[in-house]
Formats: sequence, structure tokens, C-alpha cells
Amino acid sequence: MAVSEQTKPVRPASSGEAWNSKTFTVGFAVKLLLMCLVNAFGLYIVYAAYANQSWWVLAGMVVILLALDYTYFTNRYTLPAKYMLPGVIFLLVFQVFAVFFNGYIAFTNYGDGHRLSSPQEAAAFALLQDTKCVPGGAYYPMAAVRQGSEIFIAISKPDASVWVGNEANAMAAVPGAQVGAGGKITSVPGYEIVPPAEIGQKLQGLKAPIGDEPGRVIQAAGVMACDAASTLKWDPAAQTITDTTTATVYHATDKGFFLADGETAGGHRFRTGWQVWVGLDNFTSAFFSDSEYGQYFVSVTLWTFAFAFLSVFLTFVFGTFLAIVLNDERVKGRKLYRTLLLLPYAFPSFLGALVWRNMLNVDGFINQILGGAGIDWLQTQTESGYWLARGSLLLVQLWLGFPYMFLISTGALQSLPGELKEAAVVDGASPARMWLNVTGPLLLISTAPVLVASFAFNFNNFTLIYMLTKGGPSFGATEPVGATDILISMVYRISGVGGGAARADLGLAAALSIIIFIIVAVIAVLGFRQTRKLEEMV
Amino acid sequence: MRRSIRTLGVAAAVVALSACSSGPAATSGAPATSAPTTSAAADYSGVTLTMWVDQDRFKAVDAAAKQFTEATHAKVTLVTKDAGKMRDEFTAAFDAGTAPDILLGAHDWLGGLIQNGAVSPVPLGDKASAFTKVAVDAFTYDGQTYGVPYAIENIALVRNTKLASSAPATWDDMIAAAKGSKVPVALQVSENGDAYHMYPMQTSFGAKVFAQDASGSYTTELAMGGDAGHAFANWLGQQGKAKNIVVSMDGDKAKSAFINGQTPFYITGPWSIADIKKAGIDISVDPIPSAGGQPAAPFSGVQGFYVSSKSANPIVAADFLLNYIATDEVQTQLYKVGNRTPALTSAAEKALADDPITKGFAAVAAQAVPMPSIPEMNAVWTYWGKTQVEIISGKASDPAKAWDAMIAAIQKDLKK
Repeated sequence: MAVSEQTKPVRPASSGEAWNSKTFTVGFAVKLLLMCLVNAFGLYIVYAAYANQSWWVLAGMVVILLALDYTYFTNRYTLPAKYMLPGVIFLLVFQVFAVFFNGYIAFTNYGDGHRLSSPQEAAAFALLQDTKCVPGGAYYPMAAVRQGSEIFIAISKPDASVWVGNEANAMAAVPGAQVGAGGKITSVPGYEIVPPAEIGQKLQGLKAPIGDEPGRVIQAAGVMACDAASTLKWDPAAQTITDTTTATVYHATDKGFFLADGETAGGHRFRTGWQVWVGLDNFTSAFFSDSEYGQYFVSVTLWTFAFAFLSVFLTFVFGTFLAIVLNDERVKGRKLYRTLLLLPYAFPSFLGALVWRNMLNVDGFINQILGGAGIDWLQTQTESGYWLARGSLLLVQLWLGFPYMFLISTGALQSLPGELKEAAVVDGASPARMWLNVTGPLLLISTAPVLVASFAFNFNNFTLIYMLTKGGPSFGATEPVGATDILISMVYRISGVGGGAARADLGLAAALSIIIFIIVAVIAVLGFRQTRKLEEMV
Repeated sequence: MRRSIRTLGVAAAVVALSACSSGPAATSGAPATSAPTTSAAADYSGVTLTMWVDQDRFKAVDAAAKQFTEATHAKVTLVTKDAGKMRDEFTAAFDAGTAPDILLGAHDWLGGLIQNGAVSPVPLGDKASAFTKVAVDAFTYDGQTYGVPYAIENIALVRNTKLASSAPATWDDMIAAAKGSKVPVALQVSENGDAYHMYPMQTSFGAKVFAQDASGSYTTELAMGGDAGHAFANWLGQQGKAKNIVVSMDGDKAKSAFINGQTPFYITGPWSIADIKKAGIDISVDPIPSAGGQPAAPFSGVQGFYVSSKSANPIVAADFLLNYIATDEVQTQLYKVGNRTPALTSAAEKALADDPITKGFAAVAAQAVPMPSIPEMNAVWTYWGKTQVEIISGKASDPAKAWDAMIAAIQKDLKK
């Protein structure tokens, strides 16, 4: 938009009131077209949100659309907003929403067994499970019928009589109904037959009592209706499920499942629970040693720090060393060396990791060089094997990461002003002294932000860990984490996304990712502050 | 309780005798006294069903979908998904409210799906008796059926008839017969273990994973501890030491070892047959040799179709599955892509009649036991496989002790 504003042929005299609909130009036409597209897209989202009954999305989209239209079609107070608004919207949608949603999940027990949203949903599912076609019972052709908006289930019996009922009305014969071939119900006096395409979920879980027998109902079973037995009763007001045969009452608990009176947590009968707010539970079980993952939190965090620090340190030292060597004009064929050294950087890192995993395998290339040593570099489950795997991981990381540092350092070295060096030489400084007092500090100043960013990146370097070791070697067959697991790969395991978790626990995973965010944020802030100090020193 | 669907099927068959066997065509003239599931094709215009299948089975299902659309005017949208990721993606989609109406999957997902309230019961009605009993049982949970089964699969011993002329009776016979080969037997393990492929060897020591009640249903009482479990653990340790079983042998390596003629024996399922045939190897499918004296019983797995509990059209979905997928024709098509024995008895008979390989797997299936589908299996698989890896690799110096530690950990999880 800004471009077309500049290329506009005639600029109105009063620049503050610039470029509105009064002066119809090419720029305005372009603007109109773009805004049409934006509005069309926005209205589509509004419509989709309405269809899905996502009222928050709908409201948000309407607000965004109004704001956009106001900003771009008026001129009062909106000039800065014209530049800011698109960025702000993307920030809200892609960052702020994701962060807040993650934050919300962290305070719930969302995960396997707690995926439904309310006790109602869980109770509906429990009742669906409970109502079973009676062994040896009859099956009937069925249809959905309605009176006004009330839905009934209609069945035709072999004697061609048609019976109608729903939850509130026991099955009763309707005289005068018509039955076609195969028992197909064609008309029911007083009721309107709902076309199959409109039935949708309305028959799901609809049960009509059979008059004289308690617990016996007619319910939809696939494409037929069956004679079924039902023992559970849901009371929405009291939030209880009652087993009518044993008179046991199950209450909806604040832990997100139904529990019988007098039973403890272990004895709940219904497996299907719902999401509830659990406060700080996820954070305590992330930290404290008595929980499944909590006992590893400290050791995994320490290893994460060590891994991130050593990754940066080793790649930087090695990269800088090479940069200094190849920065010396006496070295011949520098361009060729530099190109070759950059090769690992040109490799996608996950591919590099996969190649290395194969080379470090028991019968991989490395062991072949060593004359069939048969060492499992990455997955040996002994105390020394853990360190072997960690060491191998760092070496692979060094291979993957040094070209980047080499590139950065080379650039930084080449941009150092030559006069400083000359001055140092004139002052009679030895090469070591020159490096310590002049080149080194200057190099650090220009690379420090990169080092901080690199640390933050490696703190969450999931790709490498996952591709190379998957977090292994495992600490033991019954332990949930392995020796090379960093915090983010532990989060991945807990979330159950990749399978293999005893129970996918998204709440705990979200809580841990918040903790990771805090750690990285604190380190980044401290790091940048140190950089500023360095700058002031010189 | 869980098995009651059996009797239901028989009874339902009595109620609806005539029109239950055939596909969508042979329906309209049914007498009023019977209750056919396939009443003259209903008109579902305006309904769209979404269905997840994997690439292999896409074509067969697509043909059935086209038939369905023609007969009922309902649209069926097939989405291909990677079979290995389907379950996790389904759970995620379920949470997001974008789950498909129908999901193709294995029966051992059932417990987890129920725990999350993600699948609806699909009573088979009069169709139940048309399926093999074991297939219906597998999709039955607490007396309800939750899906329409289509195929049964289990592992067996696949033998390269050029390299080994006769089927070995015991594990030791097999190892002896493989002497001189680079690999004694292609048995996949990989770094997290593979308790599924190891299970027949374990059962040959009498160590079944869970106790079964009188009706054959699994209870949550672990049965693989004690002496039988210790005997298996010690045997596994010995085999690891002798390098007959190695951890680094994963699925791909096992297959290529067999295809490249490095070993005469391969413990695998029907899913590997297509590649073996492509390589032009003459094979015979035999029972898995016993290691501990008792019969080596593998797990049987059943593949089938689930209906999402959030499906907007559960009745249409059930109609499609019961009357268009569970037909001879489609089941035979599906059989041809995966070589898995059809769950529909009539289709299975045909498949068995013309193929010695399928017959071989089916013979082993007679001994097989259904894979448990309780949600706790997630934890069991993980501990089980990793413990086996520790024992095979020799990390656990005392296999029996490692086995006991595993039992204790699983028990702790079961009580949660």
C-alpha cells in the first residue's frame, strides 16, 4: 500500500488529508481491491465460525475486520495504524493467542482420559456405552420422526405396527401408520418423518422406555433400532450418574471423573473423564521428585544447560580458530578451504543427524574404521554409555554447528578496523597480546548477540536430539526419560504426540514449556545485558 | 459380559434371516417379517462422510465409497493418512473438533479411544454372525461393539524354502538349521524393543501378559510374572548373548536380511508378504517354533473401521460400513492389498481356498490370542519392550530381576 502511495501520480496538496476516496487514483483502486479480498476472507472466517458455533473466533474476527476497514478507509488518527495494524494482527493471532492457549492448558489436566470438555459430555458417553442391545433381543427398522422440534424414534414391528417414543414418552403404538417393503416406515399420523440426511446425531443416545419393563429401552443401533437394556441415569442438576440396579451414585468430582460415594480416586468406574482446572498441580508435579517426570526435572535441566552451553562454546571456539587461521593472508587456497568448511552448514541439520546416527550405529561406519569395535555410541545403557552418548551428541553438534560460527567469526574479523592492528603493532604488542587485548574483545562484542541467540536455539534443539538419539539411552526400562533428553524432548515425550508415553499429559507438557520459556527469556535478557557491559568496557 | 455380542449375533440372525448376507443390491423385495439391515438404499443426499484410510487400502475403500455414493447420494471424502500416525492424528483432530466420521485402525486402539470418549458404539446387529468370532470379540468392549472389523492378522514363521527344506519344530532346531547363514533368524527388536514380535516366544514359556477370565476376556491381572516369566527372561538373555537375537535388528533390517537371503527364517506378518513376493523368494508359512516347550502363540490383531463419537452422521456411517464395506467383494479387495485374512467369514473362506500363504497364517491364528486393548497397554508396551532390550543387550545382568522390576512398574501404573 505504501508503495502505491509513493508512485501515485498527483499528490493532493494537503498531505495530512492525503489519499482518500475523493481523489480516485490507481492507488485507490488497488487499495479497494486488496481490501475487498481481505473483507471477503474475513467474512468467510466469520461464516465458518458461525457454522462451527465458535463465538470467540467470530467476535474476534468481526473486531479485526472493523478495525481494518476503519483504519484503511478513514484518515483521522489512523496514519500510524496503517503501518502497525497488519503486524499487530499477525502478532495476536500467531503469538499471543498461542502463548495464552498454552498457558491455559498448563492449568488443566488436559490429556488422555480427560479430553472431553464437560461432565455432560462424559455422562452422555457413559450412557451411550451403557445402553446395550439385549442378547437375543429384537431388531427393528427405524426412522426418526418429529412433532414440532421434538424428536422421536419410530420402529416398525414384524406385525406392521409402528411404535413411537422418546426419553420422556414411553414407546406407544400409533394406529394408522404406513409400513412399506422391508418394514420401512413411510408415514406416521401426527408425526413428520425426518429425512435421513437431517437426522444427524439426533438419534445418537436417544432412548425410549418400553412401558412395562424398567431399564428396557428402544435405541438406535447402527441402521436399525434394538431392544436394549440401560442401567445408568444421568441427573444434570446434581451432576450425578446413578446405577439403577445397584443404587450406586457416582458424583462428578473436581478431578475430572465420576466417582462413587465413599470410594477413593483409584476406584472410579468410568474411564472417560473431562477437562478440569487443576491450578498449580502440573507445576508441582513438574518440579517435585515424587512424580514420574518430576524426579528427572533437575537432572534433565542441568543436562540441557550443559548441552546448550557446550554446543555454543565448542562450535564457537573451533569455528573462530579456523576463522583466524584462514584469515591469515599467508594461507594459500583460502577460498577453497572456506567453501569446503561451509559444507556441513549447507546440509539440512536433520539429514546430518540421521547420517551420523547411522555412522555411529553398532555396525556403522565409525565402528568399521575402528576395526569392528562394536560400540553402540548412542544407545549403550550403562553409566559410561550415558556419557558416551552425550559426548557423541556434542561431537555431532560440533560438526553441524562450527561452520556457522566460522562464518560469523570470519565476517567479524574482516570487519575489524585495520588501524587498530597497526596501532598495536606500532606499540610493539606481541601477537598473543594483540589477540587478548584487541582482536578478542572486539570479536566478542560483535558476536555476543549471536552467541546468546545460539544458546537459546540449542536450549530447544529438538531436531538434533530427536533425530540422533531420541533422548536415549534410556535410564531404565521403566523410566520415562533418557540420558540425552533435554527439556524440550522431555516435553515432547510427555505430550504423547509421538506415542510411547504411558499417558499423554498435555497439561504437564504445557506447564513445562512455560518453564522453558521463562528460563530462555531470563538467559537472553541477562546475556544481552552482559553484551552491553562489554561494549561499554571497550 | 464382554463377549455377550456373540449370542446377540446368533439371535439377531434368527430375527433377520434372509436379507442379511448380500450387498446393497439384493434388498428391496424382502418380506415384512424379517428385519433387513439393508433396506432399499436410503437417500442421504446432502450428507458428507469423511474417512481416514492409509495409502495401501485407499483403492479398495474408494471403490466401496463410489458404490455408496451411487446408491444413496451421500458424499464420501477419503483422506489418506500415514498408518503409523493415524491414531495420534485422530486424537488431535478429535480435540480440535475436526475428526473424520470414520477411521481405519487396529483393535488395540479401542481402550484408549474409549478412555478419551472418541468412538461410538456400532452395534453389528444381524451382521455380527457373518464375521469371524475373534474379529467381533476384538472390537467388543464391555459388551458393546465399537467398530466394524475387516481383517485379522498375526505373525508366523516365514521360511525361505531354498535355504531350509523343512519347518523347524523348536527354536533350537531353527537356530541349528540356520547355521552357516549370516543371520540366524530375522526377528525385529529395535532400540525400544518389540514385545509384539517377541510374544510367541514368551507364551511358549507359559507367560501370558494378562490373566483371562472364564469367557476369555482379559482381566487387568498381570500373568507374566513368576517362574514362567523368569524362565523366558533367562532364555532371552541367553539368546542375546549368543547373538541369535540382536537389538540393532529393526523392522527394515529384518526384512532386508530375509530378502537378501542372509537368513532362511523371518518372523513376520502378512504385511511383509508383498515385498517378499516381489523379491521372488519361494516361501512357506509355518507355525512359530516353540522355545519353552509350550505352543508359541502370537497376538492376533484385528483391523477395522471406527466411527467417531463426534460424527455428525453416525447412522449414515454405520450404514456405509455395515452394508458397503462389510461385503464379500470389498473384503476380498482389501484382502488383496494387505494379505490379511478377511473378517467376513464368507470372504475368508474364499481367501483361504486359493492361497497357501494365507492358509499358513490362518493356521497359526488358531493358536493366537487377541491383543489386549485396555488403555493401560500403552504403559505395558513401553516397559515391556525396553526391558526386553535391556535383557537382550546384556545391560540387565540378572534377567529375572529386570523382569521383576518391569512387573512391579506395570503394576504400579495399572493401579493409578
